[in-house]
Amino acid sequence: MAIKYLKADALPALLEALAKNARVVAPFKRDGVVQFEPWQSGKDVELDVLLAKQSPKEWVFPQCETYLKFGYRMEEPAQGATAGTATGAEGEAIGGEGAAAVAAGAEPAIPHETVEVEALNEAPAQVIFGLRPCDARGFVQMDQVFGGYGGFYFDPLYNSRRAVTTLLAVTCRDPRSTCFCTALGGCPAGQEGVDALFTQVEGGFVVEPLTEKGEAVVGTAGGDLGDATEAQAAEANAVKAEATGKVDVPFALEGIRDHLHDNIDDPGWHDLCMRCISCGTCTYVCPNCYCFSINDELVESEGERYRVWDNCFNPLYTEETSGHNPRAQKSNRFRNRFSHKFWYYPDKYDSLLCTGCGRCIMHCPTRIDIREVLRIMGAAPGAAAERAATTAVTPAATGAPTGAPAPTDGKEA
Amino acid sequence: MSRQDHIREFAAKALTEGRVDYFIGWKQGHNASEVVPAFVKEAAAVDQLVWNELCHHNLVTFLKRNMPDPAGAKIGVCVKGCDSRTLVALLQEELIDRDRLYVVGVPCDGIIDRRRLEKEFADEIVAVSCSDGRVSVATRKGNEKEFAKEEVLLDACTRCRYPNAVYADDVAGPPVPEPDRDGAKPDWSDVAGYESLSDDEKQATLEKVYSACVRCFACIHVCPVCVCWDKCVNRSRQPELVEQKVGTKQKLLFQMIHMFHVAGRCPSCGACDRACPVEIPLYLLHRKMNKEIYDMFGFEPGTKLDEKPVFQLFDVNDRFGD
Amino acid sequence: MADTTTTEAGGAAFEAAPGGNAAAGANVAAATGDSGDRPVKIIGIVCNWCSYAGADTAGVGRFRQPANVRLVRVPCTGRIDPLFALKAFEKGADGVLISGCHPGDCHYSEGNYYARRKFELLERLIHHLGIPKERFKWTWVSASEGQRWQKVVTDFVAGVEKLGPREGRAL
Repeated sequence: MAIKYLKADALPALLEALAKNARVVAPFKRDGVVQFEPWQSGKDVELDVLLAKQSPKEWVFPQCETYLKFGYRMEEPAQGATAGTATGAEGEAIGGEGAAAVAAGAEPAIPHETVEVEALNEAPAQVIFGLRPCDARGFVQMDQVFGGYGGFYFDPLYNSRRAVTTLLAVTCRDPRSTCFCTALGGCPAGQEGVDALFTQVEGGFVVEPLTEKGEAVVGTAGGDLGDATEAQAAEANAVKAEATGKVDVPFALEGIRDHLHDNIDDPGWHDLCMRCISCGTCTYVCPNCYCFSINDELVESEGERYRVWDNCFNPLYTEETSGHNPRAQKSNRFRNRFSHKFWYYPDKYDSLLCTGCGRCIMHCPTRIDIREVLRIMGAAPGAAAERAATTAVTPAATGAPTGAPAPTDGKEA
Repeated sequence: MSRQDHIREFAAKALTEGRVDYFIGWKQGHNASEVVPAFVKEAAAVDQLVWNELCHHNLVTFLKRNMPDPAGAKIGVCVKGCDSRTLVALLQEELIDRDRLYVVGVPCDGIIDRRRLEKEFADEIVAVSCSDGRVSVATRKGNEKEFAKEEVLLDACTRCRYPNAVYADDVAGPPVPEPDRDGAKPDWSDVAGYESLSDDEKQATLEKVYSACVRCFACIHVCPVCVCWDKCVNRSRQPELVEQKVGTKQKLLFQMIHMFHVAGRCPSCGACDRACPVEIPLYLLHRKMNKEIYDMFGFEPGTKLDEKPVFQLFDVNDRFGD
Repeated sequence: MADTTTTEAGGAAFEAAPGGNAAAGANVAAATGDSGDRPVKIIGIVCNWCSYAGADTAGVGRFRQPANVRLVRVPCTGRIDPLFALKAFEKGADGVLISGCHPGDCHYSEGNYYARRKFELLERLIHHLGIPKERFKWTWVSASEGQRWQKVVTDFVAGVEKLGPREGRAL
């Protein structure tokens, strides 16, 4: 597919054109906080800040979505009619067991309760612009969970929205010290899950359509999107290579699953989780933490059922009806997040559940570092003394950027 | 001897003597612009402890219910003035056992608001240092900038009335000068801007500010005086008093409940504000609540060990209502 | 999704947001204009021993009073969590009225002494939330004060009706 070039000042026009047929979502700064929000004419997309506070996952997997509305009705059978026909008149109405029995049997019709159920699934076409390759890769990993991979559950809500979502990722130019995508097989210009990749070069973007959806975007842009010159394409490649060089490779992944398995009862988990406050920030900013809970809300006879993000740090997450909680301790819940991403999930879906975006490190109130956790708990058991030594001193990752120019005096942002 | 050296010395002594099982202080985070809570178990490891203008974490959080690991551990902890007030609030209600504690008070000259610094740069801050009232900041791309310390202090610090710990077993170095608390009433001018809004503007503002909430509950988990933990009314589904839905209604209700439940115990240390991943200015609401409580009772939460929080007491001579 | 400029200090975020009508009383006009035809709904939270009985006394005495108040009976005003009032507003109540035994008369000796401290703070913070003060009231009505109950309810409902139903508010 041909590589294109888009001038920077033509970006609003492109988004405007896309917004005619779809909801366009992009990172915007509001009160100093960058978040993915629906694009509106006149708003400037924020691409200087590397990562929005939250990943764009909520636009495909909303934090809270009502997917069922229901209401209880008292059916008064018409004179001489059977209960069965009364229920049938309501169309979608589902009679209780009693109603079915009455309909089947010869007993006289009596007033009975029925439940009307209405399924909801809102899936407008949408384009997410300005997400990073790690965010896009997060969707690929979630696709396995919700998409029926390996014969597991196929989620109609997620998939209907995913199917109409186009991901226009922007190459990271300046990875942060918290980024570690390359350690997990990703890259600042990664293409996994990306429909078209935009790379910022002098004066604009080099655009690489990677899928049919990406090609469609190019089609929408029309004349604004010319072919990239060889020099521009080369510049884009240089940007990508430089960015890749800036990402730390903080730990090796070999045997991490087995090591986590072997270290399950390691006291190191207690030491590492000491500063965890058991909130859910890391999971809510994560591009692929996908746990949710389902609740019913009933007011008188009308109710709705919704699913809402939940997280494994919530003490109620595993609490059973009996009151027993298999993960009663903070350290149990702490261990679960990392074990899930690097052990249980890989066992089930053959890939890791982490893209290395580093949001959990940035936004953790006590800055718990997933890299540090994996370095210590993902190492072979028996290295206990070594682990203890690593815990005692400041984590190995320093602020010194690898491959970035040394700080110079007198330069302002 | 610097305050940091004092802290290390106290920690080493307490650990060596077996007075504590572990000691909670601050250490450098993943780079020189961050400080994180440190849990030291051996005297040999006390050199990781630091004290500087980035030590914003209120470590009393790690003393509250379900936090000590193992349960019942003897704990040493560093507290700043504001932190000590939350500790006193917990002690007033007998929510923690004083005999299990060893408290090191750290006189505090004010803590830097790192979020305010972040707003000044597009790229990542990797180093922050402070000397002689100047704060130097360096970013990953090599930008550097200097600020006057007063300009980048936390809001909680600019109006601080208790810079020294109100309760401590040992104090790290000489106390800093105390403001004249008897002569001057607290300065509530920070909430005046909001108070001057009309009802309609207040509602629109609150709805806008709180719609950003993601209900991660970092604010309540980090709050040292918010102690219900797994029994929190905001999360309970049996009974389900607060819907688990994520609408502005539920977010606002949840925040108001938090505010009420810590009324009379919250000294507005600002820990919730700093923990919020989406930067909701929670601090100001807590300030407003404290202002009203001061107005009603002349009470400042967590300042005297022999007091009880005002909402656990009554006075037949209270003059409220008609 | 309102657009505002970046704020410098944390506090600035709490200054006037767009969407709030600067004109005083604009919300009143808007609310009454929107749905002025619906009768106002008021949640009354009353203690079992005094105010609930006082309401009963008013009923038995056939004192005419507005029918907009739905009563929730609790054992004692000391049982009333501020959450109750906030929850009522969240669920769309137009006003909340709390009433119990006069101080000194509490069936449990001291429940209302504790309660009045909470109610005072609650009242101040409800105003802080931008809910007009006419929409929230707490008072004392004893079992024998049927006439006082009538007056309290009549005055309170009149105050709320003047503002009209509340619509489209988060809390």
